Amino acid sequence: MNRRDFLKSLGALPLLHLLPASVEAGQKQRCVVLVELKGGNDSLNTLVPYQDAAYYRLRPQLALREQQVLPLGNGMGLHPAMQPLLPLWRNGEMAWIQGVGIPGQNLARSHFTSIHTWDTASEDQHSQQGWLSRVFPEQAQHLQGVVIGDELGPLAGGHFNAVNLHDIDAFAAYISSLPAVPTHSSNPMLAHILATQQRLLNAGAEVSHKLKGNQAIKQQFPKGAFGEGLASIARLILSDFNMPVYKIGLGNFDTHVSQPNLHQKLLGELANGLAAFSKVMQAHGKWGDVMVLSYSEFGRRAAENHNMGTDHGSAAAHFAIGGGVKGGMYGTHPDLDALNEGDVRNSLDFRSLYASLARRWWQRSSPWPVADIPFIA
Amino acid sequence: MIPTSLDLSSARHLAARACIGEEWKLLQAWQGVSAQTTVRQLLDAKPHLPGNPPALSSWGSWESMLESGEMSQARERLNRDKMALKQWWLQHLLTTTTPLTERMVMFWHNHFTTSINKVNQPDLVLQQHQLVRQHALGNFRDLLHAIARDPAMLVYLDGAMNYKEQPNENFARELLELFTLGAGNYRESDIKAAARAFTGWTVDRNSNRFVFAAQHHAPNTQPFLGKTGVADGQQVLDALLAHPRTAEHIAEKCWHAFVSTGTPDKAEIRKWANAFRESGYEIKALLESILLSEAFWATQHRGMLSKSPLDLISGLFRSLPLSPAPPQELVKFAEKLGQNPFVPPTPKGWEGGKAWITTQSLLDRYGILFHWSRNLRPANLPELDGAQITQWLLPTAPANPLAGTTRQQILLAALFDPAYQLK
Repeated sequence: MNRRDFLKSLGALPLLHLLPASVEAGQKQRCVVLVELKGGNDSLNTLVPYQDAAYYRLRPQLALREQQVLPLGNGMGLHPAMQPLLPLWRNGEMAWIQGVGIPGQNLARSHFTSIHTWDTASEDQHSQQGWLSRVFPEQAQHLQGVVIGDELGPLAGGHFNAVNLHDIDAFAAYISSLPAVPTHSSNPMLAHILATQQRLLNAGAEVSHKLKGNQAIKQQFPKGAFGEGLASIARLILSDFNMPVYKIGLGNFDTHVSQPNLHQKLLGELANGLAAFSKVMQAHGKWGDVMVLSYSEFGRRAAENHNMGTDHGSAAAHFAIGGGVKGGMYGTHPDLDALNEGDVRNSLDFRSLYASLARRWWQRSSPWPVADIPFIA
Repeated sequence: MIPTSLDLSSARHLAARACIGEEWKLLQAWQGVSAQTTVRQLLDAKPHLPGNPPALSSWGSWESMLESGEMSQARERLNRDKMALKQWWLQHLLTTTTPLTERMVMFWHNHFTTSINKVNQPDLVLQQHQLVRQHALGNFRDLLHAIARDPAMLVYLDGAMNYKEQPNENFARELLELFTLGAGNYRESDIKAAARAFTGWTVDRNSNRFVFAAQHHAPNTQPFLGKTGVADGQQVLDALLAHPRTAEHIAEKCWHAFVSTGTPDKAEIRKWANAFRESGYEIKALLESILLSEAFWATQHRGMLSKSPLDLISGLFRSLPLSPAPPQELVKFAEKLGQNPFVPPTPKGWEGGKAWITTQSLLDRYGILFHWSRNLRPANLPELDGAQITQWLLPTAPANPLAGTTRQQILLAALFDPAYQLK
């Protein structure tokens, strides 16, 4: 008899949703891999409205031509560098969510305030609680998330048990030599260091216990920091850590100048890395439990600038891929003839992405009173 | 209380924050002297300028290499130049005789950020770096005006490509948000007006100097910060300098760099900002009001800052008798700890404070301290007991009691104590 049957036999099942997640430990945890496109990805040249006359009018130099794009239907097509992800689209495992942005973005289009809002889902620019800590408000003993790189971003916050790391093997090897430290200090900076050390000690015990070798997986990923980071995430998922979230970043998408080559290179890195990731997940029967979601501080200005580049904009399209994705187009393609001070208009609140993950993917409640987007079956 | 006679612990406090590391020689010299006198001496010292800047390729030569198709050779040379520049500065951080100047070079490098990886012209970045050092303790008005015409900055924030037909807003946006007023003190329309005013400020690609290209300039005709008649870039800079938020914004950044990462004290900020503006933006006047403020010396602010990677690395070598490390190792470890010199992650610079300490970076900090502590020459350690070692190297009580019987053992225990990460 498993735990669920046991609880059912006690008639306790209706209350199951009130139990903290740790009670259900041992069950398969669905996870999300957040991919931050740092610097503000130009989504108009990623998901391209290649039959829209306004697009060509706004971007005489930068527009991709019909014969270049990979058509997805209804006049929308992908940047050619996204080719490695096309099979996922054809398989119904890729969703595009259009017109996503920060409603009433009142602060100027700053990288720093915008990404802070995306990370925290809060208007308070001093908040240090990432949005995930609001979906998973309970204190967890086991690791809840890993960030490959330096910034916890959406995984930040006192009680959300996440660590950041560069190389998983070096991380595991070093950690074992750390001494124990007291857990409290009245000096907030020292308290932060002690808490970080404590988190390392806990993570070290868990990582050395659970991490499987599976080094060979690395060969299946492209070279470079993004591919290597995805390989680390894949190894953690395959080691059954059952963490709900991973994060990795790629950049710099801040293409004010000479955009074409740079954008091509970055999207190629993105698509090749994620295609390899999806193959590894499929080969190990995990693809149905993994959801990859892109995000970025903002989209770029609809019109190109004078330097073969684009300036900061607002709304953008983002994608989700995974075995549990209901593929297709969601939201509406912004009307390029009805711009707001040069920007496409938001039609979807960015928190709708988080609410959809909370309710439909993790089966939790959403702290944000916004509608779901049905890209998760 | 502002000490009238520095004890060991107060001397360490001043050294770790206004200078670099916990230099024993300095601490010895300062004990028994007043804060007033010590700060005056620091401010009056003639800046030590680093000798022998590395010989770097000029843009022209490697642009022609790029054109003649020798891409890999050009790239190799570029990377070599970047590395030479980083090593040269780190070496200077380890050896400078006027560490307050370098403290401010680090501060301004994190304020007027420029990434060598975007500029890709190490010679221009070196030129900017020397400019920053020249003004590090000088006048902020001069520094701001010079930075707006600095070729590396013009390339980094795309000012060099700001044409009247479609102004590029990148520099104007960061000028308002990061360099002067701070977020929330202007409108989107002010950015557009400023961007227009700066059209035509560019870099001559032959001489690598600032040039005003009149054919690309159209004066701004829209109101800027509610004022009309702010037509060109100089007028924008002057309007920003006339705005009281600019001095306050710099003073707030100084609070986070010199006092605490907590919310700045409003009255103190007003005081510092007023001193700064009344002096006509003399940086020494600002520093004097900071370093001789109650807030700077307050017990509750001791040990409330984290050491940056450059603090940790250069401070370690300045404080302890260690055999020297290879310069490329200094650079490699700074990068590993999250502060690759001349490569700030964004125009906002390194976030600092708590963000310096992540699970990965804390692990690396201990690893690096372990690696270099093997270079310790114990015979050259000063004769100190355990309590003195604590006061010398740690701003607060150690998290764990410092175990050990010999000087060397106690010293190593202090290095590996979490409190050593504080200043």
